[in-house]
Amino acid sequence: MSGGATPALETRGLSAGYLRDEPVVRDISFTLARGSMTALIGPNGAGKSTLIKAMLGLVPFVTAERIAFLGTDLATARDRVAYIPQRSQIDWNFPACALDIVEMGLYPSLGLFRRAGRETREKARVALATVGLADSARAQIGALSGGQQQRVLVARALAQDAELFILDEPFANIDAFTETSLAEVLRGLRDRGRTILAVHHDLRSVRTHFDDAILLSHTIVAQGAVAQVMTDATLAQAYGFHAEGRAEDRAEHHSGPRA
Amino acid sequence: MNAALAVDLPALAAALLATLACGTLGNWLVLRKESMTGDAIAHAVLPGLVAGFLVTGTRSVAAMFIGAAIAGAAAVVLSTLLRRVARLEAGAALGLVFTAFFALGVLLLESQGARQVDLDPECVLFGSLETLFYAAPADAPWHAGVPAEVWTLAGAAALAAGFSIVFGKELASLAFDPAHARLAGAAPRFVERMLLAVVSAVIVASFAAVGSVLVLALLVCPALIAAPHARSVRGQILLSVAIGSLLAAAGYLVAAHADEILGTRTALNSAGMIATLLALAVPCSHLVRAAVSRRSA
Amino acid sequence: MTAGAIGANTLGVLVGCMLFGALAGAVGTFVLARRRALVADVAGHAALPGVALAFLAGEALGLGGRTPWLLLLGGATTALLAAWCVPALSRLRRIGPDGATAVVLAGFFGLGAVLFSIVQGHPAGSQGGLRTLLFGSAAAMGRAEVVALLALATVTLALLIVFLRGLTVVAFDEDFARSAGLPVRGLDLLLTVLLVATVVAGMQMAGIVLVVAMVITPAAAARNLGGRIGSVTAIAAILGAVTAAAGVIASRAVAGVPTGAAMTLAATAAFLITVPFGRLARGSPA
Repeated sequence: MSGGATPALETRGLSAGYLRDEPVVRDISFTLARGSMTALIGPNGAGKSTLIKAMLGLVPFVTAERIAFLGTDLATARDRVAYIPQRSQIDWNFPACALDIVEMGLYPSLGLFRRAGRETREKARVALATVGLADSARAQIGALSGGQQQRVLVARALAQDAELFILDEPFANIDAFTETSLAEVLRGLRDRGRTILAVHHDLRSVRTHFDDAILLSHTIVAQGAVAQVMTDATLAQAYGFHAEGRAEDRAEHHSGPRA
Repeated sequence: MNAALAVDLPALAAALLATLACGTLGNWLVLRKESMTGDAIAHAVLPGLVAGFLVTGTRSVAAMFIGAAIAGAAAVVLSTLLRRVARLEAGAALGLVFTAFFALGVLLLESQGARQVDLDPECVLFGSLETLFYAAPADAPWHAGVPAEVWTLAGAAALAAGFSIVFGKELASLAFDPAHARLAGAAPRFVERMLLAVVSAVIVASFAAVGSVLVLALLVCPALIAAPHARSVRGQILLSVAIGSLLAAAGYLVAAHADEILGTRTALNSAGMIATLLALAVPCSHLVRAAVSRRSA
Repeated sequence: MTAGAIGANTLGVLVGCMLFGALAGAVGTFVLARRRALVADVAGHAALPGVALAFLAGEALGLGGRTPWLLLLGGATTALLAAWCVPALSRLRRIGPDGATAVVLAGFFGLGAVLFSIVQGHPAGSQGGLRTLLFGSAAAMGRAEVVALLALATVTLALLIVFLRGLTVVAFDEDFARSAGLPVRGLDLLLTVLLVATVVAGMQMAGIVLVVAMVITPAAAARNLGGRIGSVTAIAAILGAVTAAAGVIASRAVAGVPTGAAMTLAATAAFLITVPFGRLARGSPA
């Protein structure tokens, strides 16, 4: 952590699950410094999505000693935290164009009764341009490619002017070119002091996209710089087998058995 | 006033106002994938309506309204609770709760005390559009002769439209991505509760005149008819109300004049006719859309 | 009518209602497991146009409007058609299962309301009528109706018992059923047929509006009590039979209470009593 600034995200002793007394993740403690870019990795069923949803209060049973967003509680930091769900959780047939969706990021700042005007529209356009979709502002969201849809969601978070971005599988099911450009957008955010936490399942691209990583298998197996986290020993512990090369293959096929 | 108009106009007005009220709100339910919630509320308000009457002892609109709105909202909250407590899927929880509420309502209606509610269970289902008529007042302004149901429906339509305009952006954002909106929205819980309350209120206002079948049809069908053609939420709402109104007017006129048009012995149930037309229009609209996109492709 | 005849009919009604209740409970267990609860609601409401058509056909053919087997056949036909429409419609873009259920229910019940008004306008319809079909009336059931109910319920129960194993596997572990080579689609169709038969068998007694409650509620109560599939099905059948009988008896004791409402409330009471047991028993995930 740099200087005396409060961390972007701090979690101590978190356990959470969908059933009482049956936590999916246990005893989770970690801290994200401001301006860091962290991948949350681990085998399928390790509780990656559950963990981020739990911190955001979207899971029914959560206990924790401390969950602090930007040094305060979620209710206070609400408008500075952006959650970007898995693309597959959203109904892309929703009647809206890309610009409409990005504007939704600005609604909280408008309050309940002010309507979206020209200024809102301009801010939304700027956010869309940042993710390289200036030309698609009026396109129906259902007609966009998977990668473009993912970038629309990122633009919504940009428009919200969030300081902490929490993304669930942003690179899932998008082509290689879009993956590269999306990664560039996220790195650009980091360079401007924003903090990024993303659930990620492709072990091969962790090194190219992220600085830090948290390896999860119901509990935290390792955390820190990517190189330290992704060792043969830790991966074997989380995924249940040895060589990293094999681990990558297995993770790709969504079938890693648990240790 | 012409005798035929005195019968047709109030009923038509009631049908169109109900279309405006339910058709507008239905878009939010459909976008939220909660279509059957409308059905559940339409059944569940019944005991509240009767209880409101029993408590106050008069057919006061306000009391029945409050009772029904409470019952409707309670049913939805209870079914959400049951999903967790008894681990039922959404449909089963909804079905369990609304049948229980509706059965209680029927029981109350048939019990002695509530006989004067002047609502028989058949009307609850099929409505009573046919019984609305304009009685020209002898020495009062013209509007004194308009049936109370029409005024209630006008209020409901104003409520639905006003609510959708004022909270449109929050409702759209909640429907598109509830997780995001609940985290970042201006007042997501407040807006969701308001939606529930407004839907309950509109259903109560509508169903004495048009019946629960037509309430369900009006909530769901216009939105689904407009969905394949709409490019924005606002466009979907406007289109749904426009098409819904056309079909409602057509359905009413065909049913009310079935003896002349279809050669039946009597007039037919107009709420049922409108519901049938609306439901048929849903697949038709989708087929039209598919044909259009095939041609342009 | 002699006192003896009334007694026999009453006995028939009681046996019939318990048979229906058991059937609804057992079929309901599978319907809940397959997440089809609201299809039962659609099937109930969608029986109305068929029943009204059957009434008119019966009058036209000179059989009489209230010919029980014809009413059952008519109701079953439109209910099956509606049950088929739901998945067909939900495949259309932007409709989804929830919207499809609502549209089909509104459309069929709306058509039912129109046809119902034709029946009410019919000289034979205004007196005998079909009004009791909406909320159910055990008291209004004649001997022929009881016989038809007994026959239909017995056949359906027999079918259920014959195919119990296959239905169980599909309902509780679809993937295994597929890998084991079971005809999943065929068994789903069978479940739909059984559901429609149950709903139609119960409509005279429970009424088409509330018959769905007897499919959902006893089965939901049984899930609170039982652990294994076999015991859940058995408990649901017993609860269904008992609450159906309680409903019939209550509606006979208190004048003016429709049987369907009484049955629904009896089943709801049973469910509420079982809720705490469910919370205690559940230590493991569903």
